[in-house]
Amino acid sequence: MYIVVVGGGRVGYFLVRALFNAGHEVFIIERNSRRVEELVSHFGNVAIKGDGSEPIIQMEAGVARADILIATTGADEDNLAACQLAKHRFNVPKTVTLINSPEDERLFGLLGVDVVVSSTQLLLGAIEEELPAHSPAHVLPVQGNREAATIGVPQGSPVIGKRLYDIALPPETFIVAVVDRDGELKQLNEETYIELHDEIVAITVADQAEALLEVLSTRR
Amino acid sequence: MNVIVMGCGRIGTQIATTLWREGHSVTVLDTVPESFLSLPKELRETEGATIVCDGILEEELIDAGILDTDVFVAVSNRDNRNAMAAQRAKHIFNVPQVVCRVGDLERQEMYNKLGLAAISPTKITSALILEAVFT
Repeated sequence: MYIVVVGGGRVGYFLVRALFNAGHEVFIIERNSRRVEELVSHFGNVAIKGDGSEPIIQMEAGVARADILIATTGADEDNLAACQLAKHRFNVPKTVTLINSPEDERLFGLLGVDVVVSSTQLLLGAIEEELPAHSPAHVLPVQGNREAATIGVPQGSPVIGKRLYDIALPPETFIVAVVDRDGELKQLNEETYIELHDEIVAITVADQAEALLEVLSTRR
Repeated sequence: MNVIVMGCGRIGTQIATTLWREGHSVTVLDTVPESFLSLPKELRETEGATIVCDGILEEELIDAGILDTDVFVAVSNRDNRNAMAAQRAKHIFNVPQVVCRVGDLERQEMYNKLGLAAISPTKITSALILEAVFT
């Protein structure tokens, strides 16, 4: 396949190397002339200096015959512009981009970028995998040595899919509200089930807060 | 009307000043605080009328009042930033009227085809100059 990579920084460099090793034809567009020289000395004559969101540069790089364009610059607006140009001006079948700000995932998806890779989300995902799945809990002291806590239900939590009333809570602990991922308040009754990313608001006593967190969010 | 103008260069200044004089509520965004010096003193000193930011992040736009704005104009000197902010205003925040400045002609046409009102000063200025020379 012919793949054009916009941005020959660190991510771009290793990506290009992996793509070459996999037997693809690769071409790189990079703004910084010193990096272009480095890329050329490593990979041969497969890089040009220029702004990857300019039509004339994409033309030079042969984007018109590319199967995939991958944008890896550090600026989301430049990545978006490069993908949109490739897709709509040069009819590239597949555009892939790295994004730095996680909120851009939705916008880029709406605008037709085929694959959006969020470095922040990847890192967060890795952390969720590696660490005990305690999601952030916010705790407020309440009189009577009690605490009010809000706890997000993280991936892997044992209470996902469970009926609220079936959850074995620590002593003197009450769930007072459950808010779903869209911010809607759930009715608390026999039919209330806990789902991923629900936020649970509970009242507990100070020395049971940790136990509550354990019940709601520790991965089994 | 509520209007957000992103980019306080010559074009942004002109648009913001004109609309403000007509009585509209104007918020101007720019990354460089000194750029606001080109605005009329009274506008510049209005609470919340100028915000230092690049207009790229959602929260910056929300702080600028994008949820209540009628018009979003992206006229900074960076094409990509204008296009992204304008598309965010249009598709994420559903701002009724969105216009952006895109210097490059081909890309301006592309954005127009995608339903985004893009204006190229390059195209307009060169057309006017050609007209002045040949008529």
